[in-house]
Parts: sequence; C-alpha cells; structure tokens
Amino acid sequence: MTPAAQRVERGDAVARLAVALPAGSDPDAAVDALATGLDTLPRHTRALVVTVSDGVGAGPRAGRCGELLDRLEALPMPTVAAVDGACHGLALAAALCCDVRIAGAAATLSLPAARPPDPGTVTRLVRATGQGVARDLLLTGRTVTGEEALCWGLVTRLAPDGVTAAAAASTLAAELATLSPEALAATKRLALAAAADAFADGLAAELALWREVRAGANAQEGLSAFADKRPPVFRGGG
Amino acid sequence: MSGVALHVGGAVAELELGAPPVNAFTPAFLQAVGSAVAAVPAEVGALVVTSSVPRVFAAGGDIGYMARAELAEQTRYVQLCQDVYGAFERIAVPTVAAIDGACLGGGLELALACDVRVVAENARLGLPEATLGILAGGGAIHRLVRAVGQAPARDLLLSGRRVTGAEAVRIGLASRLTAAGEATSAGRALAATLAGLDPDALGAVKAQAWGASEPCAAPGT
Repeated sequence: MTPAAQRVERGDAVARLAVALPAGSDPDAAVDALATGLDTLPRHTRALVVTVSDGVGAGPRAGRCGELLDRLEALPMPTVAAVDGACHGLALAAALCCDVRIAGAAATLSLPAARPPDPGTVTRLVRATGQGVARDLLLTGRTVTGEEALCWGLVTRLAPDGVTAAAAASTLAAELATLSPEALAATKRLALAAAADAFADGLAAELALWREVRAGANAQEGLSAFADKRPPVFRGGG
Repeated sequence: MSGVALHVGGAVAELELGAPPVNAFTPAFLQAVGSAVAAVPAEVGALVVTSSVPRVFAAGGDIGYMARAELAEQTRYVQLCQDVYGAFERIAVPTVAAIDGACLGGGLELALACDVRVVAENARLGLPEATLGILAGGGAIHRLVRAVGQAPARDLLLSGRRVTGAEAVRIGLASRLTAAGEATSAGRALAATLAGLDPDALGAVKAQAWGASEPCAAPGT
C-alpha cells in the first residue's frame, strides 16, 4: 500500500458526530441529529469522535432517545467522546455511551437532578464509576470539573495542556482507526458484556472470540509484524 | 530449567518468575506456573508472586510462538492461560502480585487474578493485545471490568495504553503503591501479614468477594 493511499484511508476511517443542545434549542432536534448521524455513519468507519456540548434533556421523546443511546454504545468501532465545555444531561448521557471520554480544561459535567436521566444513563453511570460516586451525581445533580470527573471515572483522560479535547480525541481516533477492526469489536463486545454476565460464561466467550479473531488475516499480520519488529498494516472491513 | 521457583518459608509461599529476558509466557513456562500453584502446601497462609528478572514482572505471551503455531494449538494455549490464571483465584489463600516493572498482556492477566496488586512507581501495566490484532482472552477482559468498572476498562482495552504504577492505583487496577523497586519487598511483607490471620475467615471472604460480581449475587450471601 502506498503512503498516499494509507493517508486517504485513514482520513476516511474516522467519522465525527456532534451531540449539542445549545441553550434555547429544541431538544428534539438534537435527538434527530443523533439519529441522522447514526443512520449515515459510513460503513468503513473504524473510529468515531463524538463531540458533546451543552445539555440538558431529550424532552418528550426520551424513549426514542434511549434506543439511540443504546445504538451509540453498541457500535462495533471504538468511540471517543470529547468534552470541551458544558456537558449536561443528554450530552453526558451520550458521552457515557463512548469507550473513551476526554475532558478539556473548561469541561463541566452534570446530570441535572431536576429531570430523570435519559434511559440507560443511570446503569451506564454506575457501571462506569461504581456506586460510590454515582448516586451523589444522580441525586444531587452536582456539577464537576474535568479533574474531578477523572478522579471518579466519569471521564477516562484529560486533554494535554493547551490541547482541546476535540483535538486530543481526533488524534486518538486516528490511531485507533489503524488497528484491527475485528479485534477491537470483539474486545468491546466482551467488555460491555462483562458488566452483567456470569464469569464462567465470560471466559467461554473470551476463548471463542479469541479463536475467531485469531483465525483472521489481521491477527496474523499483527503477530507477524511484532515478531519481525515492523509496524503492522491492518485492513479495514466493510 | 522451568524458570519458575516455589519457595516456602514458614506460612508464606513465594512463586518466583525467573525466565529472562521478560518472563515470556511460553506453554512450558505457563505449565510450570500452574504446577507451582498446585504444589503450594496446604499449611501455607498466603502466596506472593514475584519476579527475579530486573524491571520486569512479566511481559506476556510468546509472540513468536503465537505468530507461528496452528490455530487449534493456540486455542489450547489460551485455554491453558485461563486455567493457570484462574488457579490464583481458586486457591483458598490470599494471593499477592508484587509488580516492580513491566506487567503487560499475560503478565497483567495473571496479576488481575490475584487478590492484591502491589505496584512500584516505575511499574508499567497494560493490555496491548488489541494493538496486535488479537484480544486478551485469558479472562482479563472480565477481570479488568470487574476490578475497575467500565470507564477505565474500555479505554485501556481498546487503546492498549500503558499506565504507570501511580495511575494504576488511581484507577483501582492496583491497590498499593511503593517507591521504585520496592514492590517485591512490600508484597512479601504483606503476604507475611496475611499469613498470620485466620485462614478460614480469609478463605470465606475471598470466595464471597469473588462471587459478589456474579449476576446471581444477592446482598448478605
């Protein structure tokens, strides 16, 4: 593969999605935008950046919103949420569906207690942070900074000094987009299931998916490249 | 020469990994680890896992072997990994991993099956499998999620990122931090303390704590 072709493929492989509810905007419009984004995600997407901002709620269409959040969480490719400013209610609910959450210097996060969180959000929050801090966030509606959010597991990384979360997320997504799609998809599926399944079933699933992934060309490429001390070139699917 | 030694002194057993340069988990090495756990005498009250290789706990699977071996053979190898790591959970006495250096891939899978992880500031921990086009199939995906929750787990698993000893303690991947180079002595001291406690009580608590993450777990059981 030529370097130019690699560059093009890598550029196309990262998709972007915005979940934004500026003050005074129609919450249904944000839900529609999320639906459109998920419906039009290119088939060859290998990593997704989700920028989340403002908030609060999905209004009367909360049920539909819950389905969309489930779809966002279940996407097979890695998802990276970028939090650069206010991130409340639905914006944080969407971020909690992502695999990596990066906070910028000005990030503030909350799930306002005045309204019920969007469907699935309570479970996702507890599974992300544990009960220790989740019920405080849920019941008091308190707002936390990026650094507090990192301590609690509400985000998983802080953007480096002088770098926005959006830029840090793009950098990470570009790296993730070069990895083996089937290895990432299997790992993600197992990790999501690990919150609720019986351990013996989980071990059986890890072995079965390990075998399935190892049988593919990308696994052979990754192991051979490591043994040969050269960078691997993984092929995208779809 | 298996590269694995089991030292029994008083009430503490020490399983020492010693296969330079990186304690790579070849099938033979893993078999030796499993045999050593099975050979821990019944009167021992705690087991500590250490490494005699400087700056390395264990760097994980033997990639050269994995690149060459037949699929059926490798699947048996991953099953062996699950069995050997699980032995550190199934043994009734508390298990302590003393991590003074690189603890990657299978090395971290083994450490995650232990009850306590003591890490030095200069330790480096990670599961790089996804960056190699494979996955951590020895039970680490489930053990990591149960140890630290979804938030750090999916980040670490999908990016293959390595964390320092200090970050490992912050996210709950390890629970005790020491100065550089002092995890082994701290791990031995902890094992000696645990070995002085009531073994029946520790065994019961260990089993109950492990079971608490099962979906059927009910409060008070």
